[in-house]
Order: sequence, then C-alpha cells, then structure tokens
Amino acid sequence: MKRKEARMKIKGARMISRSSSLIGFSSLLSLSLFSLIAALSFGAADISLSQALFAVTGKGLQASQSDIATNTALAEQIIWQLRMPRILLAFIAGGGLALAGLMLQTVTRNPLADPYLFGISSGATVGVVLFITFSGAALGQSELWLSLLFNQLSLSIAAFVGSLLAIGILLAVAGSAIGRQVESMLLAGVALSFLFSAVTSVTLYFSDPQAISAVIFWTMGSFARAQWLQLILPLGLLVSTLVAVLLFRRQLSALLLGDESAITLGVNVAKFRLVMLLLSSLLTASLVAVCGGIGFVGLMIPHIVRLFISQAQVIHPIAVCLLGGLFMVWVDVLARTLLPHQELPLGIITGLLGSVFFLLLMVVRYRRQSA
Amino acid sequence: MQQAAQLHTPKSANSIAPDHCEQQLVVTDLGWQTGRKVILSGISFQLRQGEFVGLLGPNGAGKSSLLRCLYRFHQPTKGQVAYQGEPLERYSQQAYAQQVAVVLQESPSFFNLSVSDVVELGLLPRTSIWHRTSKDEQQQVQQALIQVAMLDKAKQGFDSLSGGEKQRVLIARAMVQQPALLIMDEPTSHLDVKYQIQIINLAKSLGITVLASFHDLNLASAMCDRLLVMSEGKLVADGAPNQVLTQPLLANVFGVNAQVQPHPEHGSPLITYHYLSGLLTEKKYEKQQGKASDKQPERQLDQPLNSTAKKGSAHEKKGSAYENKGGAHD
Repeated sequence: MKRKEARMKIKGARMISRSSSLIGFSSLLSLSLFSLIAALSFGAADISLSQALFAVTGKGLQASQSDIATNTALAEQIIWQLRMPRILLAFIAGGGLALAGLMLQTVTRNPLADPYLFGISSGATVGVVLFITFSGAALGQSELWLSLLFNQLSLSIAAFVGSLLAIGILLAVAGSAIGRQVESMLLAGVALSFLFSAVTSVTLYFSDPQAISAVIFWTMGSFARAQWLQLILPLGLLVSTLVAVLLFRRQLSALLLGDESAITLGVNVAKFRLVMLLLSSLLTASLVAVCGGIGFVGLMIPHIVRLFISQAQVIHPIAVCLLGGLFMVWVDVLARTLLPHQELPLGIITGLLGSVFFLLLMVVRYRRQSA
Repeated sequence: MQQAAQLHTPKSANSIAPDHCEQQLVVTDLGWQTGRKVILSGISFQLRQGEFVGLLGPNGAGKSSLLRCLYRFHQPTKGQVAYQGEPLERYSQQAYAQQVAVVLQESPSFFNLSVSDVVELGLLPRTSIWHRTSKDEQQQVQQALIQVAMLDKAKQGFDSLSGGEKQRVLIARAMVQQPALLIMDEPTSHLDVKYQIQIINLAKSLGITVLASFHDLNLASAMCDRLLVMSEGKLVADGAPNQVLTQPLLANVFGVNAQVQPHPEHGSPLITYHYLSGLLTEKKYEKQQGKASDKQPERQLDQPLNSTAKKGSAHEKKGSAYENKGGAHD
C-alpha cells in the first residue's frame, strides 16, 4: 500500500516537474522568436516593431505605415542587410557559446569550464594579430590596409586558422593521455593560452597603434561586422553539434558520474571526450572568428538552465541554446542603444549583466532550497 | 562458443542475460604494472555461474586494481581475462557493459543528477543513440527503485544522499543494466551495519554471479560462497570461507592476532580480534605457536594458492577446517 502511494506520488511529482519544464521550455521558445523580431526595431534608424514584422513576413513596408522611416526601401535594406544578419549572428553566437560551455563543463566535470578554456580564443587572437600586422606591413599602411582590415571574411579566416592551430596542438599534447585526460587537457589549455598571449604581445609590441586598437576592439567582441555569408559556418556547426549532443545525451550524463563509472556503462570515454572536445572547439572557433571573444555566456547560461531543468533531460541542451541566443540578442540591443551614436563592446555588458543576474538567481534559489 | 560470439553484437533493449556457462570469468596469469612498479602478478582464478565471491586483502594488496582490470578500466600488462570463453578484448565496451555491471566504492556526481537519472543510466549499454526511453523501461527503473526502497527519493539529487543510499541507488542502476556478473568494489565501506547487511542481501537477491571486495572479514565470511585473498599484488588463497579464513592466514596476510571459530548460527568462520594484545608480526605468531622453525605460514604466502586452500565450490564451505586451529587463543 505504502509502495503504491509512493509510486503515485512519484508519478504525480514527475508529471508536475515535466509539465513545468515543458511550460518553461515553450515560453523560452516563443520568447526567442519574439526577441528575434523585436530586436529588429532597435538601432540608430528608427524602425517600429510593426515595420520590422512586415519586413520579415515579406509583405514589405506600406508607405502609409512608415511614419518615421520615410524611405521604405532604405528601411527594408537596413533590416535585411544590417540588422537581420546581426541579430541572427547574435542568436547563433549566444546559443553556440552556451552549448560549447555546456559540453566542456560536462566532459571535464569542471563547473568553471567555458568555451575559451583550451586557448581557442587566444589562438584566434594570434591569427588576427598576425594577419593585421603582416597584411598591414605588406601593403604599406595605406588606405588599402584599412579596407583589407575590414574585409571581414579574411579576418575571420585568420582567426579560425589560429583557433584550429590551438586545437591541433592541444590534441597532439594531451589528447591520448587516458586516465589523466581531463587534467592534462586543462593544464595544456592554460599553457597554450599563455603561449599565444606572449606571441600576441610580442607582435603587438612591434606593431603600429592603429593595428593595436583594431586588435583590442576585435578581442572585446562585436556583431557589427555581421554579414549573411558569415552565418553559414557557425549555423551549420551549431546545428550539427546540437544534434550530436542530443543523440549522445546519455553518454554525456554518464560522464558526470566519473570516467570509471562511464566505462562500466559501456562508454569509450577517451574517444568520446575527444570527439566532444573537437566539436565544441570547432563551434567556438567559428564564432570567435566572426565576432571576437565574448566572455561569460558559455560559462553562465548552462548553470542557469541547470537550476530549472535537469541536465539529463532531452530539452536541456536545446534550452541552453535558446537561452544563450536570447540573452545575446538583448545584450547586443543594449550595446547598440545604451550610448548614442556609438556601440559598447559586448564583453562589458555580458560580464556586468550576467554576473549580477547569476548571483541573484543563486541567492534566491539556495534560500528557497534551505527554506 | 557460438553462443558467446553472439555477445559481440549489441542486443536489443529486450535481450536478457547470456546463456549459462559453468566458468563465467577465467583469469589466467594476470599481471598489471604502472611504469616499473608491479601492482599485480600471476593471478589466476575462475568465477563460476551464480557464485557470490568475496575478494579480501589488506590495504594496498591490489584488490581495486584487480577489479579494475576485470571491468576494463585498466589494461592488464600480462596474462588474459576471458568472459564466457572469449578474451575481453573481443568485446566492445558496450557489449561487455551489457554483461558486467559495476558498483564502485565512491561515485561522485556533478551538476546534481537526480536519483532516477542515475538509475536510468543503467539502460545505456542496451540502447542505441536513437533510442527513446519506453514506458516499459521507465517501469523497470521504477521497479529497481522499489527494490532498493529508494522510490520516494527518486527526484532527489544523487549528491544529497547518504553513503548507504548512494550504494542502493547504484545497485538499482546495476539491476536495470541486467548483467550476468556484478562487480562491487568495497560496497560496504563507510556504511553502518544495517546498510552493510542490506546491500549484500540486495546483491545476493539478484541471483547472478557477484565478485565483491571487502574489508570486513566476518561479513565476507558470513555472506560469501567463496573467498579470494590477495597480498602484495598476488592471490594467496582461494576457497570456501572455512578453508581460507584461518589463524595463520590472518596473521600472515593481515598481521592480526585473532581467534577463529565456527559461527553458532551459520557455521562459517567467526573471527574475534584480540585488540588488547596488539598487532601480530610473523615472528610473534611463530613464537606463539612455539615452533620457530615452522615456516608454514610463509610457505603459504609464497606458494601458488592451489596448495594453500583447495578450491572449494560454493556448496562445500561448511567444513571442519577449525579443528587444527584450537588452543592458540590468548
């Protein structure tokens, strides 16, 4: 009788927790869709929400409805050429960094792990610094140099190559050391970060001030350079990584009980961890290459989602992506609108907002638990 | 052999334990070393279907290392381990996990998985990446939780449980795994007596072959069909509890002065330690025996184990090995 009661209780509790997770998840999904459209109406040019909606649904702007944006063609161009790719990039970057953070925290079982743990962003910085310095020197610091600097595709490629170099060295040094794999990877990652920072500093030391300011702006992160073409690789990698995480979610959960336990459950731990590391690193590298280093999202978002949805649940990784994307879209909106006629670097806002929000959430949650 | 070969292909979720075979696990001349340090050497024994075997030995004897070789966390550097007649290397990690479940001494849990999440992981070896947990499997998880009396804590965080509760949850996970062999590394350490008995009875109730390491000799004596004793990386005794747990062995392997007599209830050896007389060195023991020249205990340690204690089957444990050991008590 008691057992039956307990079983009913569990069933009830499970249904409640599952339905509350589902409600939370569906509201997160609709909030994300709404944010993607709403964010289009923020920026230097005044475009209303309804105008943005018209532009997205493909009906075009009605002359009578565009009270402020007098030139409808211009407004449409602003939305499709500037804001849309930028907002989508923000969403992909937020979601991608959060997902990469979740994967790295899981495979290293380290709550402080973030996507830049293994020297990926410092590798990308080296790529960018070397590219800016040497392409500038070769072209004689001319206006052509500037145009090349803003040729974002080549800059992204340089950053991506730098990140791949970091991943390659890391895997060569620490990839095969089973047993101490996590430890050696973390140590190698820290050492690589220092190595790349040294290379960056040396190169910058001999560079001109213009190149230095360009590099510093790049490292603080921005979506200002977003182009449609640049979305392809990060989006492709985000989707394929998310699919992999969903398919291998049980193996990822098994790792949370330790390597030894995971092996006894049939997981080939060393290989699995390497594949997950490689996927998350490629995703991070593709994002760093396009929008520079954006801190805190990859660290914080998985923890926030964990407070509401268990990591073993199927919807957890999707919720991490959605919340990461949602957060980044609004951070970008703030970056564009807080100061008139200039943009704040994203890193400042993610750090400020994220840390305060995270601390508040922790306090509320733990108080509720102890009550 | 044909039946064993079938094990290599992953089975469906509905598949069950393998076909029976008398010698389930055969360890032959197994050795393992890290760098130059030899941890295990010359270990040979067999596990028969349905036996409950205890692995004993002092700290650092190599019990955990041996178990790790058996559940493939360590790769033996010498010798061979065969499961159902096939060398372990022939099994994929997943195929082996379908046959052998392991309850580890301590299982850390990160990011607070719930109790039911942990138990559900037992389904992992039998499912493909495309598999969605069915209602039947959910019931299986629930049933396992009922058996270990943890259903009311199913939604609680695994980390928030006590040591005994964690062990019960891990046994529930092993039940869901539906293994033919269960390996447990010191399942009763840090547990109070009630939970020690509960955990072992739970493992016994599964009706499968169990190999478990113990520190509590009396518990092992009462609960196990057969005992393996290790010392300094070698197997020094293998047999029924009453053949293995003798005063000379306790003195030589564990260095303790103890009285061994049959338990009034179940007849297995009951060990009473003489706490006040201190630890027993080999010399002290020889002196006590009044035969300084008698090197039998040392020979026992050096000799291959077959001569120390005849391998006893699960059913011949209630013997009369105490007869020679009388009169040596304090």
